[in-house]
Amino acid sequence: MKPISFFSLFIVGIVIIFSCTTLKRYNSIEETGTNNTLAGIDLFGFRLSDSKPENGNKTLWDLSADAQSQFIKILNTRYPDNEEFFEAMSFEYLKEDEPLFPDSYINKDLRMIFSVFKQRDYGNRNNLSGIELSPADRIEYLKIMLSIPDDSGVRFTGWNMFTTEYGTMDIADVSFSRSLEIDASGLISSDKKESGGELSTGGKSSASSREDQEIKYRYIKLNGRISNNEIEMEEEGTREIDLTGNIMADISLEFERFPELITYFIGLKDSAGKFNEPERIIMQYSEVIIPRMEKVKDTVFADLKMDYVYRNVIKGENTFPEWDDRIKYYRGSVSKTVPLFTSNDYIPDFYCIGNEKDSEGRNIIKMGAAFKKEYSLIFRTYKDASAFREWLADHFNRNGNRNKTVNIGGYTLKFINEELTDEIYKKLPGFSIIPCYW
Amino acid sequence: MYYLTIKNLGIEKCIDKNIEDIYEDGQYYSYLPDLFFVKNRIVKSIKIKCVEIPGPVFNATVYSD
Repeated sequence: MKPISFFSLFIVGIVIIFSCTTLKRYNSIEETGTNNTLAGIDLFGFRLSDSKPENGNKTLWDLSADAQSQFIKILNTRYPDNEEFFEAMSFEYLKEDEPLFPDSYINKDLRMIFSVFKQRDYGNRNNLSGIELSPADRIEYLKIMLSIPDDSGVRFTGWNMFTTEYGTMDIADVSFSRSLEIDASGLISSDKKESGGELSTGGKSSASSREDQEIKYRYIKLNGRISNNEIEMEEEGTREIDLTGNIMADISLEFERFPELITYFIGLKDSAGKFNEPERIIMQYSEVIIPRMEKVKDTVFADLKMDYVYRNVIKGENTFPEWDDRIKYYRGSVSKTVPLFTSNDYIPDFYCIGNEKDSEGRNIIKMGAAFKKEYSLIFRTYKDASAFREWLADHFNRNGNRNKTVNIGGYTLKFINEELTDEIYKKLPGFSIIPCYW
Repeated sequence: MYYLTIKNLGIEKCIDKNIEDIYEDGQYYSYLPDLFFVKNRIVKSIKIKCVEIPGPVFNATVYSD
């Protein structure tokens, strides 16, 4: 054999070895299509809770490794008892006093759980999509956008977490072997582990290879963007990772601001449990910030949109590896309106004392001050409102207080446009504790 | 009498009243008072600002009795 042909065979062999043993994304690909029926998304869970700012408290575990070690030795000396020692390791230091009640009711944490699904009508071309689906198909790319209307009175302020079930995963060993035959004048046998091979001339040739691939940690790509009224999540899977499943996003949001005045009464009862006279009661006001929204919206809705790329396996679906697949990518887009949270989630749970609500509005007890100023008597909790109502009922039941107004700390109790007396209080039906907002 | 009212969380409240219609766009008022008011006739809708939360503009309605 001439040296030139031997060299050619050698080159061809090397090319074949590397082209056949290197992992490929697919074998061949067809032109990309568009289909909006292959995948879908739902927001099946949401929860709005009060945002709790991080406190500055420190624990043992906030210290450096050396400091932890020293600290544990000290704790061990100081608390020889096992139980006390374990308790001591959970102590918090530099503790700040936490306020009993917040002054702001506009910051909330929103947890959303999205569910991404795909069609699974395998092997049936007469399905909704008109495409023959297989178990080897997968959603390869997702972009989820959630936007709230500009006039919703709320805006996104921060992103705390974005998690999918594939955030981190260990897929261990991927081992496969394959054999192939080529019509060439050469014999090639190769084992990648040995990183070498034999080559000899001959008639019909065959090649076999074995690959062991170890991929310890495989991440899918997660991207997130946030603006005042839109969040955007991007997710891109790699080989054999189907992006169907649940996605959890924790978002911080803030309502527009509106001021409100909360009233506290101190000393409604004396140390013996008897109701005090008005002059012994101290009234305090506290200004708080509540959400600004002209009308209470029963449900705040958002627009949810998902763009996706669907990897449809036309041939090769019977094997787990993807390198031998003949595929076609489909782009798709779905959108819907979803409920984000309800009025119970964001309306402050304040209470007043007054008539039952009607279409004309509320009639509640107010505090009349100097210069003809009046302020609503708003209680932060039902318990506070109930305690004052009990005091008021007791006050009006005393003989000496008949037809007298109630003056506490320079303020006079008023109802509608009159000063409140026992006559008005007892005459009006449905005088009870009512929610402030509805 | 003229009554200046604002609405929040479904509750309309009167924050100022005057025997003359002195209310105009851009004026500042405290939003904390809750005065008795009569809404016989809508006089006008204006945009006012809040003493407690400077910056944003709020829709307000002027009523007369």
